[in-house]
Order: sequence, then structure tokens, then C-alpha cells
Amino acid sequence: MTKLHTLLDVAADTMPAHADNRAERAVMTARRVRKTRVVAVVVAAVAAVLAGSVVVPLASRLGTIEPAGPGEEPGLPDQIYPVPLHAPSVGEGAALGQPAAYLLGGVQSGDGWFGESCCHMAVVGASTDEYAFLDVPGMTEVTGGGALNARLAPDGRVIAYATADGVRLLNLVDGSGRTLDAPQGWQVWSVLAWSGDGTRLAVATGAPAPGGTEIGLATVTVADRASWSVPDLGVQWNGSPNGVALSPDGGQIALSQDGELRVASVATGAARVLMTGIGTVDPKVVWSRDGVRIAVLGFATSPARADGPDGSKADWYRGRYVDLASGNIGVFGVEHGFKLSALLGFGGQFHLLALVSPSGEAGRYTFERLEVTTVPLRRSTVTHLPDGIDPWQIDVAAALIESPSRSSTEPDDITRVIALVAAGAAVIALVAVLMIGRLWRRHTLR
Amino acid sequence: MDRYAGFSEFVQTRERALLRTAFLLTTDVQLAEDLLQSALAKAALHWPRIRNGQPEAYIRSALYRESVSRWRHRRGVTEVPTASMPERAGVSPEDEVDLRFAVIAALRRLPPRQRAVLVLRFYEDLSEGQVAEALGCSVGTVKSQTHDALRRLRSMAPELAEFRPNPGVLL
Repeated sequence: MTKLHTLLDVAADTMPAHADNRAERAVMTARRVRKTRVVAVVVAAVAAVLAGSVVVPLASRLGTIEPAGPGEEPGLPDQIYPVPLHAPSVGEGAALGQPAAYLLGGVQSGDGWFGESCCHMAVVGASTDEYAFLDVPGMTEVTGGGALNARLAPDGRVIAYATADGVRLLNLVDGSGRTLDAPQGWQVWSVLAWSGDGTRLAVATGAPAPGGTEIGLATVTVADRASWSVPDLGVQWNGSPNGVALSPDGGQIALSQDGELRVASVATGAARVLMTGIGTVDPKVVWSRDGVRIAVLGFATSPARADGPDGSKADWYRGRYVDLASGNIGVFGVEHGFKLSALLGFGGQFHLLALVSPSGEAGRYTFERLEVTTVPLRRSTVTHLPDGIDPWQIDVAAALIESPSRSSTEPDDITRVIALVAAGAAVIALVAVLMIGRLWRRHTLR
Repeated sequence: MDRYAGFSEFVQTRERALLRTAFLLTTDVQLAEDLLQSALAKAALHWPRIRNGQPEAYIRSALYRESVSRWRHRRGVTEVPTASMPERAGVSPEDEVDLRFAVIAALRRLPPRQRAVLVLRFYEDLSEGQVAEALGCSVGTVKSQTHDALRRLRSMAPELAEFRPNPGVLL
């Protein structure tokens, strides 16, 4: 033992030996501190959740839609991108500010698109890469699967969709809306097609009938005073949303059903058969802009399998077009390894916009411009489709099909920034609360 | 099982020794009480983890670190060293009470960190490495602090050098 130890020992004798439940007081303090910690963690967690739930939706509304500026020529964008989550909603009172190039439908599961399961839709601007979600309350269900619940007008300025009251028209440019009221006792189920001049719509209707609801096909003029008519097509329509097209002036209606292509006058209902053997499964019909041709894309029936362009016996989609004046029919298809999956519309006299995808294994879908009279068929890519855009649920502004595509750029996806901001806010909240807890604890311990 | 099982027994057994250490670190009865209470609260907080290890070492380490930390936070109100020793420190070391006052007065004039080093090295009889671990500093720092503390003690309280409890061991 050192001398200094002895000196310190002597000094330490100054300390009296009394004790007042020192252990009990320490335990009580420890319990208080533990409780404080629990409260701090809970508060921090709540703060983190609140930061995330407040910042993200708030920031998601920061996206703005700017009208197309001068010099920005409208055209189909050469790339469609997934709609950014921060894209604003457009609806009545909230305008896109410009016509739309495409009306997009999203895959209904796991894509983050908002709305009810029936309304996963968005638009992309015709002149600039402005993406926006559609806010269309009251939309009714479509009569068949695999098609949009709304249709984009040929000029891209208006969206038409079915509501309980009739057909609702939403002007994308100025955000105004109006309703084409359905006749008494009618129920409009879905909007099927626009006429090329944008003056008439073909719609699916439902009407009470013995034993259930009878599916009907009607047309309505897009005028201040809507005029409804029910053309007689000579058959009971089966409700296929793809098999109907209107002529450019809205005076005639084409229908593909039961392997036949029929055309009828909207006014008189006189129908004639233009083609047979076009396939029975959900054929797609488009009318040329000059009104002289109709193209049909149908899933081949069993006898046609041997005629597949790739030489296989597999089912395939076969394209046909018919000249209304002469009745001449042409056939078109794509080469081995690819398949035609859908038609969007005519461009020039023999130019079609069609959905093409690799046959067999899943691959990237593209919309291509087809020159259907050449052998082999000439085609060029217009737009690539990414994951998240359902290739079966897309509509196009027909006026843009013939115009040159415009190069597009990926929209600024500030969602990541928003996520970082939210995460940062949550971390700051967490640290702040923990620091408060620590300071409280220090204070308590003293 | 009670989270704090055995804590009261441990405190009852060791509080006297811990209190003496706390007093040497603070040189004030009330501050020593507070310091020990704070260290015990920390120990209670971590009792399930430390009770099967070395709880006393944990508490002592908490005492030393807290005493230095408190001094840092109380710099603005800490005592101002005086130029001369208190009058009672100059009395003969033969008188134990006076000797006690002299030692306490000398300790008070040391910075808390040096005071802690002295207590650990010469009262707790820890090695330089153990002191460094307890204070969370390097061994070199412990050596320099010890050297400085002893030098200051010799200069500030030369009368303590006359104390001869055990001939041959010099301050």
C-alpha cells in the first residue's frame, strides 16, 4: 500500500455512511428511464410514419402539367414510360393543358396506379412528355375484358367514358366536362369507338329484358343535343368491345362477329357482309381515315393454323383489309418470330398502327407502323412499351398516327427524391425524439 | 424473473466503498451522494446485462466518467483555485483530521480528470491500462495525467510529503 493510498483512504473517511434506500431509488429511476425510452421509440415511430404519410402525398401533388410550348410539334412519343407516381391527376377542373397522344391502361395489380380496379388509366401529352392520371369518377364497368373503359377522341382532346347517366365527356385541354344523357330506361355500359371526325360515338348499352339484361349497340352524336340511334346490324351483337368501328363521318358502323365483318348505315340500319372467316375470337376493327378501307385483325380459327406465317401450327393473329368500294380483300401478317396482337388505327391509305410482340416467349411490345400492301410487309417501330403499361389497354389519338413520331424523354421521376426526403424526415424525427429522450434521461439520472 | 433481482443486495454490500470513491472524485459529500445515485441508476438500467459480470467495475467506470463529464458541464460554475492553501492545510499532519482536510483541499485543486486518475491508480490500485480503459483514454494520457497530478500535489501541498505512515514510500 502506497503512502498516497493511505492519504486518500484518510480523506475518504470524511464520507458519512448513511444511506436512504439508495438501491430502491436507483431502480425507480431506471424504470422511469425505460418508460421514457419506450415512449421515445413509439413517438419516433409515429413521427416516422407521419412524416412518410404526409410528405409523400403532399409531394406527389407537386407535379405540374404545362401546356405544350411553341415549337413542340405534336406526335406519338417514340417511347412510353411508366407513369410517375407523382404525376398529377387530371379531371374536371384539372386540365392536361394539351391534347393527349395516348390513353394508357395499367396492369391492375402491383403497379401502384391509384383508383378503383376499373379505373387504372393515364394519359401522356401529344406535344410534351407530360404524364397524368385520369380522375374519372362514376365510370361504369366495361362489357368485356381486355379493353379500356374510356376512349380517346381522334384529336386527343376529349376522353369519353360511360357513367350511370350516359356518356361523360372530359375535355383534357381545359378540364371541362359534360354528359350525353342516355334515353330513359337505357344504361350505358361502355364507350366503344369514336367516329373519325369526332362527332359520334358507338356505345354498349344494357336494357332490362326477360331473363336478364339485353346487351345493345347504339350510337350517339357528340353535339349539344345528343341524338341516339340503334342501327340494325342483322345479328344480335355479342358485346365484344373490340369488334366495333365507326366510319370517319359517323354515318356507318362496322361490326366483326361470328367470323364476319358487317357494315351498316347508322341511319337506315341496312347491313351488308364484307368479309367472312376473319376469326371468331374478339376481332379488332379499324376504319381508315379516308373512309374507303376497313382492317380487321382476328385470331385464326383452327383450319387456318396451317397458314401461319411462321409455318407453325400455332394459333396466330391474321390481318385483313377490305376496300369498301371494290370489295377487294388483302391479307397481311408479320414474319416468323413475331406476331400481330392488336390494331390501333389507320394512318395513310395502307398504313396501320399495330401492336407487335415476339411470338412464343414474352418479349417487349412495340407499336409499329405497318405498310400492309408490301410483300413482305414493311414495318417500323413507333413506340416501345415498358412494363407496367398493359398493351391490351391503350388507345391513341388517331390524328397522330400518320404524323412523324416525336422523340420523348423520360419524365423526371421525383418520386425517388420524395422518398429520400420522406426517409430523411423520418430519420431526423427519430433522431430528434431519441435525443430528447436522451436529454430527459440525463436530466432524470441527475 | 424480477429484472432487478439482486440489485438491492449488491448495493447494500458495496455502497460504502463506492461512496468513498465517489467522495474522492468529488471531494464533496452531497456531490458524492448524487454521483453515486446517478451511477447506480445507470447500473439498474443495465442490471440484467451486468449482474453476471462485474457490476462493481461498471459502476466505478460510470462514477469516473460521470465525474469528469459533470465537471465539463459545470465548467462555468466550478470553484476557482486559490493562490494559497486553506489555513487548516498547513497544520501538522500528525493530526488526522487536519490531514484529512489537507488531502481534500489538495484534491479539490486538481482537475477532475487528474483527480480521477489519482483515485484509480493509487486508491483503487488499478494498472495504467485499467485506468485508461475505465476513463476511456489512452495509456499515454493516463501516464501524463498521473505525472502532472503528482507534480501539482507536491507543489501545492508539500506538507503531505512529511506524512510517514510507511517509511520508504514517498509521495
